Amino acid sequence: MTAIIELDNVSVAFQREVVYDRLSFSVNDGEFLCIVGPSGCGKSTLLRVIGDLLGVDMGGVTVAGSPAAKAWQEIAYVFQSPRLLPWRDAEANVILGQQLRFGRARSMSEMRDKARSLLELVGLGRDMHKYPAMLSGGERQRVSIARALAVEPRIVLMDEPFSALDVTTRRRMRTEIVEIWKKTGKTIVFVTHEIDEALELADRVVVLSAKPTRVLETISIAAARPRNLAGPELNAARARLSHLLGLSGHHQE
Amino acid sequence: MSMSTPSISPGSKPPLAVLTARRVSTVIFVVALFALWQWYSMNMPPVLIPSPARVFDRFAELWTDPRNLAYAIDSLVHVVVSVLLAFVLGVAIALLGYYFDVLDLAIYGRLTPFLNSFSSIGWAFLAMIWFGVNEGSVIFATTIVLLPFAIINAGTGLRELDREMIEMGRSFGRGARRQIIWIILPMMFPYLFATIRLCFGIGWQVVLTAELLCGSSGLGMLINLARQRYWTDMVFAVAALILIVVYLTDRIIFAAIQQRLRRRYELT
Amino acid sequence: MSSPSGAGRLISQRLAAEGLVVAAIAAWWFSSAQFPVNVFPSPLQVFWELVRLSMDAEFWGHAAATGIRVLLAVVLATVLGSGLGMLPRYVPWTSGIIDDVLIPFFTSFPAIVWAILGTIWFGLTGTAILIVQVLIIFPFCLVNVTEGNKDIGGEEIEMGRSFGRRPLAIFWRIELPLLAPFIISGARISYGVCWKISLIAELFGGRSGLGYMMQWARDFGSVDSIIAICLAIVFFVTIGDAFVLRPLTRLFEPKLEPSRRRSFLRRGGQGVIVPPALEGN
Ligand SMILES: Nc1ncnc2c1ncn2[C@@H]1O[C@H](COP(=O)(O)OP(=O)(O)OP(=O)(O)O)[C@@H](O)[C@H]1O
Ligand SMILES: [Mg+2]
Repeated sequence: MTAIIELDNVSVAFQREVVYDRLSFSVNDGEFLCIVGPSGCGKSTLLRVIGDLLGVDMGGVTVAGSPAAKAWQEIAYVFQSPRLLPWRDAEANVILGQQLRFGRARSMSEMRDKARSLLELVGLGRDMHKYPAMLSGGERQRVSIARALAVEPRIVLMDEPFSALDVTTRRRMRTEIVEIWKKTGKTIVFVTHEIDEALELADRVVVLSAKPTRVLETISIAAARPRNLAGPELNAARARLSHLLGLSGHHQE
Repeated sequence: MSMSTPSISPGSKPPLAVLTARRVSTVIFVVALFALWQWYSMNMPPVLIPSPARVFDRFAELWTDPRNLAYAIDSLVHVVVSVLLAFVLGVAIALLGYYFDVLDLAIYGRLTPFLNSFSSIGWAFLAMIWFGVNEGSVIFATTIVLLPFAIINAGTGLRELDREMIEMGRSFGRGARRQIIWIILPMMFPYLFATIRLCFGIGWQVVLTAELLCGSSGLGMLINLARQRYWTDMVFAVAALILIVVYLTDRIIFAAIQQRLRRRYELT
Repeated sequence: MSSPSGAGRLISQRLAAEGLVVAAIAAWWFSSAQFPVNVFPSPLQVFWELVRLSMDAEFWGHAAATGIRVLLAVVLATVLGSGLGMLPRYVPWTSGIIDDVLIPFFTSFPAIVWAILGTIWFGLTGTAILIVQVLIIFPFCLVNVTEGNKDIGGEEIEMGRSFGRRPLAIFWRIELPLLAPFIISGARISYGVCWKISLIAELFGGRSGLGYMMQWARDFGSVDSIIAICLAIVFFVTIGDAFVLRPLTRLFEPKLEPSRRRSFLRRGGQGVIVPPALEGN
């Protein structure tokens, strides 16, 4: 496995507050990586750093072999809230991502075909012309996933994409995202604060500490999908994760 | 007060019934007002309360007499020119504040509060002394009175631009032009429109005052003339004309556009 | 966008703000040198005029007359506007009358016509001015309270009703507190507008007040007086807003939802006066 994202001794500070002090880790090509950590430890910030939405104060970020500032084309985001433009319908929102990235380089009909096939993929084949206000929370998040996939990134960054959804929808979306990941072979970096979500999805789980943030541990989960969350391997991993997160919680106090 | 929770009963009858009851009471109210006015005017000298019929005659005269019609058109031109000037200046200043963070306090802590509390009559008097009694004075006074409203409204629009949306845009592409065309301008649009609508509404008030104090033409001057000669019916007629124009443009044109915008931009 | 450290940002903003004031005064100074005194006086002349006025008992008499009238008018208009605005809650059939007749009529009726009609109907008296001012500013409160009425959904009221049905208690404990921010914001707008616009009433109808004084200064062609009076008015508006209305607004602020609060009150520190009257609906 080769690393597609590498963070090398990255430091980031806001005003007087140091978020990371020499944070390093890497993401392998094609893997499903989950990031967990206490609230406010800088998980969202980490994704911003990888996607070059935020510069680093020190250290280096390498994405697909080049510095992050040059590699934003390899990346697409799925945010916690879907961030759809309310005046565009589902299809047009998926087209928007492509318009912003490719401009005229991709023809309108091509973009529309792409949008249709991806909406089809996320199960919205019949709702292409609904506006965000008419879609449910889960459907909106699917649109934003389709929008991200439509620009054909090698890496998809997801920041707690399902945390605003209800339990059943969330469970269904998890299964679907694994399906999509298998079908498309993208690298997915997935931020979550739910241990079970990480256990169900991840190849590897990166556990972050409280600020100043460092990597507490990286846990590999080899169990085949679909996973039985009550199985012995995952139980052991869950115990380890709870321990780490509980510990870092104490750290904070 | 009855429980107004819409029951599950099918059909659109209940809302319709409410609507008509509401409308009937409104119509009765307006008719009663006119009746009261008619009755009252019969017992009062026309200088105090001219009868509806007299006012209507004068109103018709406004339309038939080309000189009066010219005044009305002048006022409209003053309003439109001042609103556009104030809008362009206001948006430009607000954009300055958006792109240059240092100017924030200067604009919103010094300039706008000052302009906002400076007396509009003061501006009209100063305009008259500086530029004389002419159209320029009217437009100057009106524009400068409208300016703080335009700045504040446009500034609010810029400040309330959804940062998350802008970040989303940046995550997909870095071209500034594409961001502006597809995200920033469409997001600003409701605010820009609301700014124009607001300025237009206030603009009429201010233009009339300015015309009355330093104008060489326009309905404000006509009102002043009517005032000096105790043509109360003319004052009423001009007021009616303005009411109708402002009401029609605001409630029919602007409201319809804004309704569509709101539906389009509705966030859940 | 780079974000410089907080303190540095504040200092540079401060510098820019005071720089603007200094630059404006300097520009005024230089340009006034190009014109005769009776057209465009220099800042210094206006300053001395302000000093003279501040030691002039007559000026303070006029200022007090205007100030008291403004205060009274704002109180009356607030009471009238809120009362009318809340009426549809209790008498549902009035909602059409208020929404479709009273609000459009009073918000678009020209202020100067009120001023003229006031002098015709009531003569040149202080009461006439007061009535005219109330007529000019009460729609701002009416619009705000009506909007508020639609805004404070049935939820809270229903909650109140679930505990008891005494209408008076519901009014005092639930409805009035919920509407308070809208009422205050209406009063705040009215206050600004009253100083700014309704001085017109004093032009035609008064023998006292700052509007009358300005008229007088104009007839004598003393521009420095006009500017000085305008600056004094700016001062009075700012004082009243900073010491009475803004604290009141803050007092009721927590009752607004965050999203709403942002649009009404932007970072405290200036008398923002935007009539939502013409902005909404
Ligand atoms: N633009 C900013 N300016 C100042 N501080 C910031 C900024 N963005 C983030 N921070 C701070 O950096 C830290 C990390 O924020 P971040 O949003 O990355 O946390 P997070 O791990 O995603 O938290 P959560 O799990 O609650 O989403 C927080 O303490 C936050 O206050
Ligand atoms: Mg986060």
